[in-house]
Amino acid sequence: MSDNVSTVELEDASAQDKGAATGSLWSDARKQLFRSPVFVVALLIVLVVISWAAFPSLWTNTSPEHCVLMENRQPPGNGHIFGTTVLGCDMYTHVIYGARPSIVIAVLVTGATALVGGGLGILSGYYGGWTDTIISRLTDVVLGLPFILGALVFLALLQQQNIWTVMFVLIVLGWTSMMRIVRGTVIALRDQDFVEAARAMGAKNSWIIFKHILPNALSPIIVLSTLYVGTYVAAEATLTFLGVGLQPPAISWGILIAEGQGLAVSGLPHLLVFPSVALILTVLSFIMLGDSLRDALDPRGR
Amino acid sequence: MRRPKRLATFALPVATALILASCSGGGTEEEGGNGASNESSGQEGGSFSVSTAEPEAFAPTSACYSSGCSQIISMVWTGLLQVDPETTDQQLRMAESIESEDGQNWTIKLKDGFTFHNGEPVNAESFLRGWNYAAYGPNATQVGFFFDKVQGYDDMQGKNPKAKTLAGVKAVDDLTIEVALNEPFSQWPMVMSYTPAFAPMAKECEADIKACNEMPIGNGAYQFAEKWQHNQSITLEKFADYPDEESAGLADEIQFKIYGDLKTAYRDFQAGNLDIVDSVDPSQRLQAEGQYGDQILKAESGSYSYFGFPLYDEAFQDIKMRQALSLAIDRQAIIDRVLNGDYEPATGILPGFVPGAREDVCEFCEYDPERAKQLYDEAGGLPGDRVHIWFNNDGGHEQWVQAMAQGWQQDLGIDFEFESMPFTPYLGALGTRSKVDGPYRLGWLPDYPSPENYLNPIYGAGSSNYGDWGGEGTGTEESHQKFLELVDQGNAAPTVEEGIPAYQAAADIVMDEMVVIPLWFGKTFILYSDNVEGVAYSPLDQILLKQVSVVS
Amino acid sequence: MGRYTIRRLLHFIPVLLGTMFILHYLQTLSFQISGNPIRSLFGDRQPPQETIDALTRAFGLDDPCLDQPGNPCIGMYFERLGRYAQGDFGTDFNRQDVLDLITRAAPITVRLTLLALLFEAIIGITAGVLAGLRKDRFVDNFVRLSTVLLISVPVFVLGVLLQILTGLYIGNWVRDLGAPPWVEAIFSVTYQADHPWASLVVPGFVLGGLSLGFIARLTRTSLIETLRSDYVRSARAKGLSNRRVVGVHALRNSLIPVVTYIGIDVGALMGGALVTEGIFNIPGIGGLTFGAVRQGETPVVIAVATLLTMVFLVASLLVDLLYAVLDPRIRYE
Repeated sequence: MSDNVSTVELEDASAQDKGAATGSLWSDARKQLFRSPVFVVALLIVLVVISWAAFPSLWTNTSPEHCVLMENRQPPGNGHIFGTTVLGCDMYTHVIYGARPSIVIAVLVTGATALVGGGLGILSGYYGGWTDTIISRLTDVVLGLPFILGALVFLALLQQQNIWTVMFVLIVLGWTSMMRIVRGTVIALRDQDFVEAARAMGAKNSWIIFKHILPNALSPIIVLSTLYVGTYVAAEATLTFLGVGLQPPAISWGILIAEGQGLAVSGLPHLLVFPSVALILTVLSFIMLGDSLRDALDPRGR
Repeated sequence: MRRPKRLATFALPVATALILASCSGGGTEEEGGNGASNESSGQEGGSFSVSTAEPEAFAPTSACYSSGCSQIISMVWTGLLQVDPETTDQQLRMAESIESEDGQNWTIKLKDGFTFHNGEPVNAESFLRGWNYAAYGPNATQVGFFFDKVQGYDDMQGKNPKAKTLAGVKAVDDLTIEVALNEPFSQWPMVMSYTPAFAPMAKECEADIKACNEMPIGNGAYQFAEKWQHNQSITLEKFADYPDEESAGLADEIQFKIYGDLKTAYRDFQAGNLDIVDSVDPSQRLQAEGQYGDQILKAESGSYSYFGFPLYDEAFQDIKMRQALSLAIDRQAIIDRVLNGDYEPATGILPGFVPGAREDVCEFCEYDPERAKQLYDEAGGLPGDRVHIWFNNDGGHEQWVQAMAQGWQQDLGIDFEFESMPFTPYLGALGTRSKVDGPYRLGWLPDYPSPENYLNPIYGAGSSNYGDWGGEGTGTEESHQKFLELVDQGNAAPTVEEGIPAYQAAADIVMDEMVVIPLWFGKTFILYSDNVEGVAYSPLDQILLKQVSVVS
Repeated sequence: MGRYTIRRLLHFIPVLLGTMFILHYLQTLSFQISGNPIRSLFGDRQPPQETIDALTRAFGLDDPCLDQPGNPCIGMYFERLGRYAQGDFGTDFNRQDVLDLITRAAPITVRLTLLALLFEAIIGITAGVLAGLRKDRFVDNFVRLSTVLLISVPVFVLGVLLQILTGLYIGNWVRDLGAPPWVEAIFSVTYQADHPWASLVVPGFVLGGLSLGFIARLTRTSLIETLRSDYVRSARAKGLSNRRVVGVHALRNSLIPVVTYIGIDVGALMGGALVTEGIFNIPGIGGLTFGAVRQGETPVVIAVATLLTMVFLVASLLVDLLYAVLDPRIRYE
């Protein structure tokens, strides 16, 4: 998982300067998006997974805590359509309930990194000078720290390993790429005529930022965020696999995969297949969403 | 004191269940693997490879504490004696005789004719060199405390110790050592059988410990063929001038391949790159059994797993509560369904191979949900019917602990919460003797096959008695006092056999008080290719590699 | 360009000092909160206090500030910097010099990283170019789908599956055939010191897989965009051959974001190889770091992190300098 978090970085570097979004761009984009089958399918999958996370009991009547040790590791069939887990719980139920940590982490971490990274990026890009130097060097420190190393050090420090600490670590280590991209966008915007004009008319910096810079920097933030959601889902699973993410008895795809991985290649593939497919489909759908969104928001792509 | 190997080394921990099983087991007899018989032809020569984890250090008497490391040490160094784990007979090696009249003052006579791999003769001075190095505080060795029963040990501790050598150890002549202990201890020879702490040290080694760590100079049947290839391999070759026929090895060359993750070793075995897997990862055992049924050695190992009770916590001061929790564990089911059958449910607190061990002496170690529920109710239940279960989360314990907790949930109707954390903070929490508010997991691996080694370090004074048995206000002061007296009584007996009744009485107190929940004893799962014969196992020397012969 | 480089090099200093300080502080806090890591060396046995004290002193962990939660132990930080200046990087708990540990592990990880980069660059860029040139055709859709799939499969699943496929299924067949040793090494299950390159090919692919996907997609997007730009249009209008337009003009420009990405990825690959190294038993930096963090071996953690940060910084600098080569419009002064 070479650095799941900072990888999407710059995928979109060439589209950095597409900040000049207009109202009609968004409505055009919407029309284009819903004509794309890839987008619709991806959106459907994401909605389904979100409904698993929000209302798991809509999808299954079985309690995830109902486990019968003597019936563990059963292959699909026999009242368990996905079979049973290593500890004799219903695999289907666990896959449904396992969506929650992934989705919560992905959504909240994405939101927080967008806020922190976007905010610092705007400050750094708009003010330049010392502000820029300090924020940029700080970014270098965090970006230079390999993700896993950083996560391990933080999690070792926090002792507790639960959904909140994992999220905290992902946010602390994940805001940097957002900051860099937004900074680049803002630097390009800063010298544009309409900003110069506003400044010449004596507008306050805060006013300029909220009125002119932020709306224009929003589209790269949104696009990048949707691309990141998927990688955060994968990052959580990786941390959990390494034993430093979520801990049992929490239910998550990462835990299911970690438990099943060894036994799966020893003739019990269902232990790995179902949680992996759920994870892969979710990540895939989020990336596809981000992809389509970017294409739609990029006026030159038509 | 040996630590489960790979515990904190680079394993991918979640996916493995209980990595304990890599140390010790039941004697040289074959117990297992579908009637596996793998008699050694006694043929000499050839070479084979065996998996291991990265050892800590080879500088003698310094920092070797894992079973993998001490396995190699015991091939490269020959100590004073070995203890046969089955009979507890002492097999003298470097020692001609070890004698004592009062159990306190010991005289050790050495055999002549042993040399180090560099040609230096091994004499009394060589042993003193190693022992003084180990015991000297500022050297900060990890095996120094093995000498704490020797006179003068205390003077060597602290920042600026008074003495640089053990006052209680003297070289009377070239081949005679005298050891004076602080008090009588009949099992002192057994302690000395622990080679990583009691090995002799060559002069050349003392001059440059660091070089000796990379290219050890021992006096054993095998020597390093090349420098230690860290994280990759260690290659041993037969030492041509080794004088002792009895403890010589068969193969000419033994290559230890170092693996960070057990699972990889098994796959390398499947690819034909490895002759012996020292311990197959639990998740691969099902597959291994299907594929290599008659090439597996399952032997009883000395590892002992248990859950302790925080006796300082009121909730666990009622003995019925402790009995109820123990009765509500279906040990056999957990072993069969989660741990792949590689453990033996505990019916006492001493494993079978230890002298004085008895079967079925633990009344509350069987699975009896009704009685458990009844006792639980009689004890008044836990506050909020909720139990906090403490364990370390870097040793692959999650699954079976969860299975155990699910059992409590179903049979006793209690909710559970896990307090799991890495080993360092876990031990820190235990050490406070106040923070831990629920049953806590620990395990034990023996240094020498004596009941004493399963009693004192776990429940005795200054031990890992984190539940504070005998602590003030726990209501157990009296029983603990009695326990300590009985262990002392056993230690003071002139021979091990004569000490056994006292040790057994001490073990009975542990079970009567239900100080801990005994869970199970480990078994090894060793896999070998058809390239080798005579694979056998001892709980102390691990795989008896010297006896392995290569099929030509 | 010289002055620019020097200015950038000067930027390294605060970043490196900052990295060291942050890690120092985190590790210090960890000690203060979690307790002395020495104790856990002894596993389930409680060693006598004097043994723990002696080891604590020997590893320089007896500073009283380590007993005061929250105290950043500035003194220890500057002592460490002082020792670094003298070339003393400390030892791990087995008394191995940190420098030795790193010099043993780093070359292996560097080789692994190079192979991963090679896969990324060759396969990733080729796939991206093919897809970009044939936008919305079969090749394009195939590349897009397969790369997204590559990105979404967790590396620990991909790694184990590939290991079993190449190492066991194909590997056992190759070994039965009696192929030359280096071919066998490619299809080995684990890293083999005798074949330091061949046995890292499959792990290199696993490590580079994620980035390979990103690079292919990045190249594609970038190329499509460049092909639409004015100068490519005018080049075409001038009647230049398609091959020349794409090969010389479009490709060169569209590689700028790709190069940036690769530059940033070098550091991430070296430090992120942990899972891959674990699966293939490769004794590299990842495993070293993981063990060190777990055991609380601060000297190793700080030294490795500083080294990796340095790699990251140098790579970013090289990338920026490369810009000038790729894009004649960029000039540094």
